[in-house]
Amino acid sequence: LIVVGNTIPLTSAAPALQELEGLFGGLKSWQLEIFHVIHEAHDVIEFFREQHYEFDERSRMVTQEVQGYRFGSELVNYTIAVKDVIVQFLSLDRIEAETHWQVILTTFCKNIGQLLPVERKELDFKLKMIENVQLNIQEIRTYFSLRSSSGISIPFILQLMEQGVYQSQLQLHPNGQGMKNQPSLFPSFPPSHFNIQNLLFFPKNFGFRIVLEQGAHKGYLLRFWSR
Amino acid sequence: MIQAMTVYVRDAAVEVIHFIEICKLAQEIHNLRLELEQEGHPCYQGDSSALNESGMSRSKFQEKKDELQVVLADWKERVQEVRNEHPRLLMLDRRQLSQLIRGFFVLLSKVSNSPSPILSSQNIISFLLLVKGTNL
Repeated sequence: LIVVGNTIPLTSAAPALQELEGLFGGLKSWQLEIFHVIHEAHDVIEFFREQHYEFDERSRMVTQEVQGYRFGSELVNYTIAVKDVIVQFLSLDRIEAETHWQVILTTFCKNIGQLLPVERKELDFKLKMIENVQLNIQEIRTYFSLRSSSGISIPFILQLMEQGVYQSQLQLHPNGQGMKNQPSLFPSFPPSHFNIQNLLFFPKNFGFRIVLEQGAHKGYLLRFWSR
Repeated sequence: MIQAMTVYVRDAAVEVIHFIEICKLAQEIHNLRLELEQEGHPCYQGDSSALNESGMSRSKFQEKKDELQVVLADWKERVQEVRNEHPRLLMLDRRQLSQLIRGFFVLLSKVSNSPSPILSSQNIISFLLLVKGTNL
């Protein structure tokens, strides 16, 4: 950049600005706000780093689970909507050390510019979504954790299934053989960690196919598939 | 909607041991029902039934399993006896034998309600032809 002291000659302002814009891959000045937001969203970046390739598959499941639950549904939609931008920042992890910083900056800004809205209002909304995801990251982690399965605890599910009805269907049945568990939605007594959210998440009409395998270390693997 | 879930349970997880025991028993009962179907028992052909009522205890599942084991052993024994007594029935496989028995049941029910049971006997004619040939 052609800078003399703290001033820029008027004649060189235009080419300097052009050079600067080129360096930032054509990003508009108001789009630079993304760097400030991302700086505050380290948990979001870490979350996507952990999710890796499993995010898309899990998000499909989670989206269905939170249907009808407005707060959760919005959060999951925000998380899905900001993924493309966050993944761009994750791509910086894979940059080779010898690449020149100017090339990195320009390429990165160009890519991120393609993902960010140019309109101020839309951009602000996108940035708000990232902030919102950061603010509720613990909730989102719970949704996307297969172990906790969106707040439904395993003992709660097992209790519903324990009090459920096993349906045995034989080979010559038009739908083929199989055994399913139709869980009871009205357990005789709620477990200690029961909360009303469990029922909000729990689908009203479903059954589980169960496979019980004797695993290593004298344990069991229970595999459930919903019908 | 939960689509799939894998849970690893160690022996120490007391709270799910009861569930696992019942789950194993339910699977064993299901396998016995499949075997009964395979053996041609007319009450278990393409059947779909609930194995329990909601909240049924482990001992009830065990009773149901024991009961089915007796039914299976009894059925095998009866089929063997009938075939020993009427070797021509060996020409029917288990499923055909089961259909023949069902046909008889239908016929018997119609005999009590219909003045012309001969028409209903079509249900079993094909099996009798198989066993007896054309000299009926």
